[in-house]
Amino acid sequence: MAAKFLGQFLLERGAISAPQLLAAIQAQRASNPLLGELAVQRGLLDEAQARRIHQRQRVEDRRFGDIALEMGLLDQAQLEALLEAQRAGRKLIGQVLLEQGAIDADRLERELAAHRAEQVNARNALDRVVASHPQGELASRVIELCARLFPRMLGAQCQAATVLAPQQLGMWPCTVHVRVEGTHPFDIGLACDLETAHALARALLGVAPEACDDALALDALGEMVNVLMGYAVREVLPDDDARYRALPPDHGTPARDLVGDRERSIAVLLGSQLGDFVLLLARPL
Amino acid sequence: MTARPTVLLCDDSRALRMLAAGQLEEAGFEVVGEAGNGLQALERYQALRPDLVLLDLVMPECDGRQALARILEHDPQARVVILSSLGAQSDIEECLRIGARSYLQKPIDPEAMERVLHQALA
Repeated sequence: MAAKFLGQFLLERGAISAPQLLAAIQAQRASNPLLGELAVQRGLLDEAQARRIHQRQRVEDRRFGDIALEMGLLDQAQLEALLEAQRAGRKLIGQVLLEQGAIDADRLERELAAHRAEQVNARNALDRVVASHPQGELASRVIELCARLFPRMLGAQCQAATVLAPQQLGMWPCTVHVRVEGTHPFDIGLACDLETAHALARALLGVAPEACDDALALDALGEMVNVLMGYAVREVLPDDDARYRALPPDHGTPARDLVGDRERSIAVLLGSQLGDFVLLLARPL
Repeated sequence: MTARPTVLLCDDSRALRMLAAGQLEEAGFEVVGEAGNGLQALERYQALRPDLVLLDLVMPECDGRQALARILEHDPQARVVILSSLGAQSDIEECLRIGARSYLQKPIDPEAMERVLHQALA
């Protein structure tokens, strides 16, 4: 059982239809402005300033408000007012579905309870599998890092869903990994389908669909891995004066070859609003 | 108003160039050109004469080290900052010996980039 976002959960259980989910996601997005959008609406930042902060967020594991404070573009009182306004206006997907008449209140309540229970079960199951895996310690810390880093980098929620077996990796043809050589060598990579690679690239680079070709999508996946690798080396690997050297991104090794050996590797499915993708971790021989 | 320092951005990754260009613009630099390999880097340097070159080490058709040597041969005053992968210490040292002003490590930390580029300009 894998952890799912509520919309996907409701869709799979037949509680709503795909067009209803898409309409709700659009309405939810419109009712939940990003902090930068809200600041621009209120005349606290201009669009160029908000864009600059978003650019920094793509490569820094920091919140929009913290960067804005540091740059002197917002003061603490302005930031708190913006956060409060964002909280007050925020609508959850269930609330939007209810307002749009896609689901009734009783059914929504039952489905929310079932979803919460499934989330807890899925998370516990994932934790158990990761904890008992030979590479579990490394994996759990990188999963935590992904859950924090990717939403800020991509502006979309991301959660670990399940551990995949090597034979389940054939459906993700776009694979990039970086090998880190040194005291505690490891390979770190991401795999996804081409459509998701495009969605990730558009979110990372802030470009329109027509500006993103396949080569750029794969290139952007490589940069995502590079940024993830940089944080993993700094925050996850032992800080014992170890020295590391990262090789250039490798786009040629299929995911199942990289993580084929359970003893030294692990693949974790990450669910995101941009599509599912896979975190690949391996200890080289 | 003081003119913004101009930068030639050289890296074979288009995605990295797009990310770095945004960071450079934010830091007050003007990206006047981009190159995806070492040969292009030299050609664009000769044509654009930027204040700074940000040069990746690992590129096709003439890598960053060779491009650095050729740019400095063409203009010994060129200010070149190397963009390197994590831990490429011996390559960095060689580039500094050849004449690079400084280096930056990927993934690029915007604050470090701003500091290093201003030092290179001084």
